[in-house]
Amino acid sequence: MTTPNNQGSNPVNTQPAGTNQTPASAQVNNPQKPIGVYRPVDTPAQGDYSSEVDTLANIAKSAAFEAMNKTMKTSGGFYLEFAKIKDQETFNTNFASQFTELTSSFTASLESQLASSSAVDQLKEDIRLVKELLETHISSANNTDDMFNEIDTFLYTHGPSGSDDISPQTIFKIKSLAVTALQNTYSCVDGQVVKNAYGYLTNLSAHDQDEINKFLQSINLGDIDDVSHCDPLLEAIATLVMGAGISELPNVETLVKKLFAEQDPKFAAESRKYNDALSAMRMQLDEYVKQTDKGEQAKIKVKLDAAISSFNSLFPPVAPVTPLDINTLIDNSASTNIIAAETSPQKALQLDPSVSFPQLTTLYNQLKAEAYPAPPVIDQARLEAAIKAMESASKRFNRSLYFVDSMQVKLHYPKSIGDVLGVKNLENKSDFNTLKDFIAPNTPFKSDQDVNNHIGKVSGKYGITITRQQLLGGGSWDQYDSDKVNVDEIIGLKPGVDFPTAHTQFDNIITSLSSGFKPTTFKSALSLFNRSVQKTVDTNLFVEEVTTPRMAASRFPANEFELLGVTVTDLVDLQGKLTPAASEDVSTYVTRCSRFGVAFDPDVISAPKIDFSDIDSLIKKGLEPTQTINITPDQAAMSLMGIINNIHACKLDPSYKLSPEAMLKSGVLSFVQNNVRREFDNLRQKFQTQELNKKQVKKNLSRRAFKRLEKETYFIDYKEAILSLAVDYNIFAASSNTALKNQLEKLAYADKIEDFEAQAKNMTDQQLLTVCAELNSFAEGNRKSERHDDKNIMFKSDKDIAQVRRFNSFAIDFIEKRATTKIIKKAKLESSGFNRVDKLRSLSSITSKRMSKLASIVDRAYTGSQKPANYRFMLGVKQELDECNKNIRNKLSWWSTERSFSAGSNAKRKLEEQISKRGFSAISKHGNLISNYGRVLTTVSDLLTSPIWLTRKGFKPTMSGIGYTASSLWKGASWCCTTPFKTGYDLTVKAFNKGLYGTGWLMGLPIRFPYNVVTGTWKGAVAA
Amino acid sequence: MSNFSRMLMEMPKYFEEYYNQVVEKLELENLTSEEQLVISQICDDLFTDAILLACAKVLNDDELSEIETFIASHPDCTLRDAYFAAASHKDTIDEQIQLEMQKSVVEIEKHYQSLK
Repeated sequence: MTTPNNQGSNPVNTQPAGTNQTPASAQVNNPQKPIGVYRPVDTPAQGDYSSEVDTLANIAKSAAFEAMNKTMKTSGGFYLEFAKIKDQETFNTNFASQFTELTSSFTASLESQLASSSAVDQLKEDIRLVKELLETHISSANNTDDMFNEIDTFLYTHGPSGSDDISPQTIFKIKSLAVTALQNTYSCVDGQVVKNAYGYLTNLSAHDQDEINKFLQSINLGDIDDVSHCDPLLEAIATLVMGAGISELPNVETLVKKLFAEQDPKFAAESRKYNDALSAMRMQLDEYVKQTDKGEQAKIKVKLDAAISSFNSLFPPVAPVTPLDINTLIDNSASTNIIAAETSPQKALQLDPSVSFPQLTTLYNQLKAEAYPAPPVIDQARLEAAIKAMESASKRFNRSLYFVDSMQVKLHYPKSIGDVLGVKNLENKSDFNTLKDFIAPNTPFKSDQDVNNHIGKVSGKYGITITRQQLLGGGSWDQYDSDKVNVDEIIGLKPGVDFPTAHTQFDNIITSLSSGFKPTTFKSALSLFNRSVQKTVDTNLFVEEVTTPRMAASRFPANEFELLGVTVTDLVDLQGKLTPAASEDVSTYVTRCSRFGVAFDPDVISAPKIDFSDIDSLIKKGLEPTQTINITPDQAAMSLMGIINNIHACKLDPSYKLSPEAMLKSGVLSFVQNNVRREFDNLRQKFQTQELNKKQVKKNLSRRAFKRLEKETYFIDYKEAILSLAVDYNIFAASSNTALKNQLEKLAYADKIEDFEAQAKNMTDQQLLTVCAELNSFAEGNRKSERHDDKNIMFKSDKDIAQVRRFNSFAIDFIEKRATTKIIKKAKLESSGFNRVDKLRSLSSITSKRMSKLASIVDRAYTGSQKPANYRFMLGVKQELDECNKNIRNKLSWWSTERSFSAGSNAKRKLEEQISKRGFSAISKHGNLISNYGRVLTTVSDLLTSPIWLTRKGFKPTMSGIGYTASSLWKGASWCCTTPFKTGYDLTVKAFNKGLYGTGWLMGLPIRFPYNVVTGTWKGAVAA
Repeated sequence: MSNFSRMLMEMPKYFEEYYNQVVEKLELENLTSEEQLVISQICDDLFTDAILLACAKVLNDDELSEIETFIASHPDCTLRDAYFAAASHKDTIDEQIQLEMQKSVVEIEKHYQSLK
């Protein structure tokens, strides 16, 4: 890391011209200046125009805001891409914090102007709106993208295109604040801080810097500038601010003091004593909570009170432990929580939480219907369904519903007496005689086969098996006698069964089952039936798995409350009954609840009253040293590094938490490592190269290494690059004439802008920009040549790269100039009949549009194309310019031709001549556009460097408050330079020379003033 | 076996020697094993940087220029690989490593004592 005197204040130098937001010392000789941002560093603003410069800075940043906002709308999470942010959440938090801080400060500044402002109403409205933005819109956004969108939407809604109730200056300022917040946030998280800790810290908000200074003062190290020579300390502070946040600095301060205090054996011993005492109390509290025996609890309480008292007397200055409220009174303030947590009727009655009380009554009625079904609806399916429903209800009510058990009796309902006796088709009383006749027919058999056929028929029709012996009595088929056949025996009954009586008894059984299972009745009926049929019928044929009902004698609950075991009759009222009275004793409360059937565990409902946070906090803090410490910046750095190590270790695993001793020792190691790494980096620095070309690498690499590189690289010179592009049909379409290609070759070697213009005027912007993009990508070394086995392309020498840069510079200057000239021609300069507000709005509107378009270039440059970013960027520039021209040409506004110069005005002509002669080079300093973020910011801030207005002197009186340069100059000129942003502002020659040198804005477009205007040779510059 | 490979193989031994010295100078014996683990990780980083510094110091300007160009044109090449490879062929690398390690141990001791 470099010292603060030669480092940039920000990784990307995005400060607009003339701003003084960074220390002057931080802006010169920057050895770590980011590649790709070659903007000249302006002289800091001085003198009486600093507020103007601030305004200009706001406008430049406002444009940057537009560019960023536009980009994020199409690409999403743009800030992540540009800055390679890994910790998105921290980034978003930091951004919100930064923006809030800056905006609050801005609001305060507006409020301070109320007393002296001549536009109090507008000022008040601005204040109100800024507060609304902050409090309503920003606070609801989820991330940085959202915040930008919120800001954008808000400003659009209240801006000139919307309700127009916020002043343009405030619009600029808010956008500027958003960009500043973003820049600060990048510095917070993108790792740049490690290299530029001083720049980072001094770029933080005033509040944050103040906090850091407080921290340093608390450890007797002065402020940031006092420790600016100690890079390790600055880096450690920056790392802590980035990681833990500025709000943690007071804790860090305590910790640092403690780390050093622990080196004192006396303090270390005290500290141990302190922690031991607290830990012992904490253990006793745990024991108290676990203890269920009231007597034991009381004993612990006595010990605990004594320990607290002893602790407070030993360490009185620290933080006396409040005697903990572990008595049995319900804390009135906690009663609501107790009810919510423990005493809702569902919880109190231990019901499924989804049970609502109207549902409860419905369920009760359903259960009752199932328990007492009306005949003849009862059947097996119905019973199964009822059992299932009751099981489910039983679970929800968390009650053992006894009638579910009683329903475990499964009835089969045999359809006929034949089913019971094992005879098919025996249903009616008369069927019995038919059966007997069928088994023993009166007609003789005709053959053995006839006998066998008969046996088969009986089996088929009645399911009864007959043997030949039972039928023929051991004789042959012709000896058959029906009277000798014992039919009852064949059926399975004893002889002389009274079948009609048995049938009646069977019906009685079925009827009794249908009216509900009554074991005694059933057994009696079955016994009678058995006697009639003279056999023991299997009971399971009627009732399967008959069990004695567990609570057969119990009655079904009379209502749903009885079902739940609650003695109240209104469940809604139960909620009220469960509410504890103020300061009601827990035991009284529990007893009262039990009266209406609700039982509570006293420990459960009283548990929330014991608060451990007090003692836990003391344990966490440890003994705080009260004496001041005297340490060097290096020692402070070591302690901070130790703290950082501890944070990192704990993130990996809490078990790696470091003791103060380990923290300090690890800090020593990190400190030494930091020094070693710095020495190594410094050693490397002068050998590191940022531009590679053949000459350079050949010089630097060994012969062998160069040979190896040579094999994988195609070396190209500027001439060949131009030639290859001239024949590239992707750039010059097939329809292009060969003259264009010849022109490109001429263009490539133009030494002066005038020569370049002479050739470039026949080429389109797109063609020029495409060539620029291609050349740049060669120079950046990120292109391969398809024609040379896909080898990497590298320019041969520095001279080739210098020519590329010159081509870029000429091309962009020319494009800007051509576009601006067209706009000037179309828009017409005019000076009468308009006021400052109109002018300001015009500038704002066009600026906004222009920057939106520019932002879209960035979108196209980085998304969706396989072309290199530079190519797409340049292409986008061209499209943006075309679009901008079109918009402005079509814009009928305050700049209407009726109020402009008369055609052919000498003044206008001469002005155009001057502008044409000088051209515009607002973005000529792009140089090597490597940094994505830098590319955007550099472009927009360069384009918007200085909004200066050129107006005719003769109309000065109509422009209230706009000043003039010097009276002597007025005498010889019809034009003056002024700015629309401040009433009563005098734009002096000194101001020009110091800050707004040479470039400006005209109608929302950049212009370059003739040098002699700047130096005061007014006459002849733009003379009428 | 090339010098580079030999150098890599020597590293664990170097580190062990180095860490033992750090343990002694910083009086790390009394720390818990978890704390020692955290500190050994930091020590490893310091050790690596000291080795890199030693490597850089045994190379002359031309060689440094070459290696930086090589790194610039080979983005996949790590600093450690490049510098080890270049320096491992130097006759004095072993001594330089010893010297840098010793210097850092002295620094550690000096700063640690300053805290007391």
